[in-house]
Amino acid sequence: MNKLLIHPGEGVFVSNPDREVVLEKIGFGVCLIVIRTSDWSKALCHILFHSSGRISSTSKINPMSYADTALNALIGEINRNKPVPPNESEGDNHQEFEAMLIGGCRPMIGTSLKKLNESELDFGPRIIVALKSQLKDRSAKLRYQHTEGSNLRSIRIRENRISIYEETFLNREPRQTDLSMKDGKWILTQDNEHQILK
Amino acid sequence: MSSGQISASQERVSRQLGELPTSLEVVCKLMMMLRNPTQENEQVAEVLMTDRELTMRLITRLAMKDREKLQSASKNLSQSSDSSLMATLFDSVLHMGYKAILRLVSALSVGQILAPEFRGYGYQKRDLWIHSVTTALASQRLCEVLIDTNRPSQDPSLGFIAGIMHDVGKAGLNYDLAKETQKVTTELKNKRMLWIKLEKEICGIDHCSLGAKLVKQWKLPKSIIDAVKQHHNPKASCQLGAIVHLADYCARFINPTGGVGNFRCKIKPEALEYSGLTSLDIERVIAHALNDKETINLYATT
Repeated sequence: MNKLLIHPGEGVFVSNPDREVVLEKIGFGVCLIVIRTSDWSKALCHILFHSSGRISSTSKINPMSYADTALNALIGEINRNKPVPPNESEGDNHQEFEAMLIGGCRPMIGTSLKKLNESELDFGPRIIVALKSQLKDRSAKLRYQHTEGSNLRSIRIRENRISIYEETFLNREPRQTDLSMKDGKWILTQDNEHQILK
Repeated sequence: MSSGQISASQERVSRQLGELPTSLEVVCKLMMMLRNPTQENEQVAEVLMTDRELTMRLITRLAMKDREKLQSASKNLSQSSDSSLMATLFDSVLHMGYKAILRLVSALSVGQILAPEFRGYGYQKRDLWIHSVTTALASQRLCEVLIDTNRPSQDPSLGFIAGIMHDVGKAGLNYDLAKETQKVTTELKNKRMLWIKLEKEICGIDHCSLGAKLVKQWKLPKSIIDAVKQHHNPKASCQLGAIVHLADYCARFINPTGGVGNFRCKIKPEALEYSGLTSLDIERVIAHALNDKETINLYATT
């Protein structure tokens, strides 16, 4: 199977069933997966910053790097790559989307100087907060979240299956979590146990 | 761990260094010179000449990259006179440019210590080297950001060297940590212990203190010794230590490396105050580095 590697700050529409999309080394950054519920079309990106307004407009970084612009950028990617037939769509705002968040490792913040805003350097959780706000504004459901902690994660996405790998032991195989789509439902598999995501 | 074992760790890394083609003192001097774009080529070649072993390796490596121009020079290198070596070096410096020479010098020295696999930390081959290079470039950039905005700063060259050396102590502790893999995993996973405390518990010393001992032994400047020692515990008296602390954080964004709990680092907000930097500066440096990943890749593949 072909592989498409997505680097930090990049995003892609998951289109080709013969191609696996891979996001390696998700640390403090966050992977956002957006799914259109009408046909399960997916797009995803690796977000690094919580706000696009903070970094110079001359920066070449694309909107998929920022929590406040990534959701719209991914929805745009889905609609551009797989437009909904006009008779089925009453416009972008009437389509239903859901999302998954993976990553956002949390460093431990030292507390020796309380006058400083401790969350100022807590980038991962700030991205998650900003994303949740975006999802709420767009009425998109947060279907699954595999975030925080302090271990590196990677993701592999095939047509109807999302696999998350977390490094939890030294020099051993990472812990695997699978999300697979069956009969319109997401099944979560972890340590050989299955459950339907609500 | 007894003081004898700590000395053994130090000895182990020193022995590795002894097997290197050059002295870190010369490398450090070169790193300072090569970061200065107005530096005279002749002076760079002169410093290179003080370490014949390094010179020979450098020319051999350069010859591999540019056969036509340099093959004849490297062929009879051992018999070359100082003046012909000097001429070849001068040509090489002129031809390759300072950045390429700096990458080669770094890779031929520090890179040889940091590039192996470090199973004690769960680092694969080149992981620690790439992390160190990324920290070095981020640290250098943070110094430049301070200079560009008229805030008190440190010499960006010192920032680069402190960044590239900041985790060198890990090379010494890896051996003992690798023998205790089960314990390391349990402590990290169940007790949520910080790496730095775990190093102390298992090895009797953490990588910051061992790293500082090593760079002191290699006669690097005091500001670098202090920065290596304090990069996890920045102090108001050492701006460079605070800059490297933040650069280390940037590097984890730019090039996350593997291993368990490698994101379990303690970020000290006071590093912002001690360095004079802001969280926005940090974000900008990360963004800048992501736009210039080619530089990091060049170091990684040199």
